[in-house]
Amino acid sequence: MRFMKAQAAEILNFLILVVVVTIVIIVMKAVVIDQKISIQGTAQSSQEEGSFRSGVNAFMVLTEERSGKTFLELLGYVGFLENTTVDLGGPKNPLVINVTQEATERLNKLYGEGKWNLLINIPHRSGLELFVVADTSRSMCDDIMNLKTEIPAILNELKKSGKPTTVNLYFLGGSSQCYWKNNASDPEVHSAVVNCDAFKDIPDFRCHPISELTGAKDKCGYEVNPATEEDWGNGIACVSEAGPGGDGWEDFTVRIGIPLSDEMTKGSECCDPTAPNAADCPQGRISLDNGINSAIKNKVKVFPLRAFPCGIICSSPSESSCDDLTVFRGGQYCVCGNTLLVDWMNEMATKTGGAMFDLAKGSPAQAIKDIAFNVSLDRGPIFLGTPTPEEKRIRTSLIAAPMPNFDYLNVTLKQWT
Amino acid sequence: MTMERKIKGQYFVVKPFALIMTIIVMFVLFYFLQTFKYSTTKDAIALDTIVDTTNVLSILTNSEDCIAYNPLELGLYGSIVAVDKLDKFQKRFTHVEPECARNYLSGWHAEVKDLMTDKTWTFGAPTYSNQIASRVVDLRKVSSMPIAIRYSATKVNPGRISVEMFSGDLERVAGFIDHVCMAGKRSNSKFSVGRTFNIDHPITVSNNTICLVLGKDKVCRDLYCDTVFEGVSVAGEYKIVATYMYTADKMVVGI
Repeated sequence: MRFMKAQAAEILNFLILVVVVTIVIIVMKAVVIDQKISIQGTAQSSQEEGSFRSGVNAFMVLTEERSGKTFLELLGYVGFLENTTVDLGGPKNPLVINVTQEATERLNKLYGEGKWNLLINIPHRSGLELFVVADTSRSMCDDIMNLKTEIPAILNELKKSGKPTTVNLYFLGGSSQCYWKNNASDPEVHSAVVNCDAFKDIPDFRCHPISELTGAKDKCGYEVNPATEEDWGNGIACVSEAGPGGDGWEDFTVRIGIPLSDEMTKGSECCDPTAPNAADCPQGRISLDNGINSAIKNKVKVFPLRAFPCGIICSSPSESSCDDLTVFRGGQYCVCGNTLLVDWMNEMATKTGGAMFDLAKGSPAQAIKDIAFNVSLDRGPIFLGTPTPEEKRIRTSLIAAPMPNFDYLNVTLKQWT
Repeated sequence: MTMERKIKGQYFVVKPFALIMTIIVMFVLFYFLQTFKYSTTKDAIALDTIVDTTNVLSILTNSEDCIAYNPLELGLYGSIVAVDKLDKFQKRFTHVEPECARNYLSGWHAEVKDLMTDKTWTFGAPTYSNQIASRVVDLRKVSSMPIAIRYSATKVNPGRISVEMFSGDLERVAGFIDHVCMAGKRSNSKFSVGRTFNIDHPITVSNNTICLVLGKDKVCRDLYCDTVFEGVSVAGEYKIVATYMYTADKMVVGI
């Protein structure tokens, strides 16, 4: 009996040994496989991360063929102009680049289609701040008086539509008595005094002479002090810098600047009607550039209103003092107003993300209404690529794209494999 | 009596049987531990290859000594390669890797492709066909990553760089000779190192070219230095001693 018990014990010991060894082998195999997957996974993941970062660096310095600009710069333009297509040329030599299309092509090449997305975060706007810089030469009387008549109703409409808007009007010249006829067959010579007194009781509307910002007050910098009653280039520069009320701008508002004129900035007198050439007007060019640069810097979109340059102007209530601009001084104001003025206004509009309005087809007040109603406050992000999948490991990089106004735009690039 | 004999008989059968089975179990455990050790060593080598390939990619595209565009002008941006450097590397490094990203235990071959124009540049050690690779290469790994190819300040195209890394007798022996040579040049003195290699195929050296002989086929690559070496005519384990002769600027290799 004792022997049998001993044998049973030995067999049992042996079985226990076999079971323990088997368990040890199974556990060690499991640990090895787990470690192998973990380590190789980490190495692979590290390599993929490196590849992603390399792609981000590469994308930022890639250039678009025609403009030679890097995509970092182009994204900045998209953010500033809040448009996926940007024109880096001008009216005469447009250079329109569909930035999102070009970026998509390159990111597809770098990462493969369906494996990335790009989010351009355009900041939301809280309201609309709008200023008008008005030419106060004799030919502008009718346009300015139209503003006086129609702007109160327009502001009321804007208010009812829920779009918070303030309008500031700046007169480039001083107070002036002006006379005009609506057209050649108009039997009456109309007259008015153009100054801020005519606008003082309109709610949500402020009128200022430009001298409030210039001279000793120097709210816009001496180099851009508007010099003449047509100097709308420097006028835009001045108000863009000083802010619509002279006290700076509110944060995150849509900023609109509207020059109203029928002459080239600083006057059309430099222009030869027989052969209009912008090179003949270097002072005007400087004024225009000042306006463009200041508007860009202060994120102001400019919507120039080109008043009809070929009307009838008078210097007194007498009919005999009236001149037809189509022939006056060889048609200088009319011809140049239809050529160089249009070019310059279009250039300012294009470079700042605005658009030019031709008042031959409507009134200044109606144009302001169209501008204000069509400007959207909601600037949602611009999304390129494929929606982020849920089941993949996502790599993310935040890119700060510099904008033309020296601010930065946040762009998020995501990638997966 | 009969009962006692039975018990004694069983005792003499069961005990040796249990002992033999225990010994067998011990052998199984020992075998498993040996294969475990081999498996982890193999995994470690595979992991090293992944890391080495990533390192080569990184060095090539970020080092000014390799193909990276001067990074100082562009601040901290990496992964931008200069097209003039690509042209130079393609011309100069047709059968050997550039020193700036050399791995002396493996060989590698790089290909850079402009994704807009499809133009390609290749440099580094020559690659193997799949048929030959299966005979001479232990490890093979391909990695790639996106880059920017800079032609000028206004022309920068998207590109992709791929590196194929491989390791076999030829790469290890050539890497050893080159490593000793470069170490000797840097030390400006005579420099000698010996190492043991297990070589599966004959090796020949002529001028600056080292070749692995595979019957009628030969696979060759360049060496960095003028080298005198009789080679290895038969497969086997050899201790190879490489000496950099400083005065003659030459490598002398013996077994």
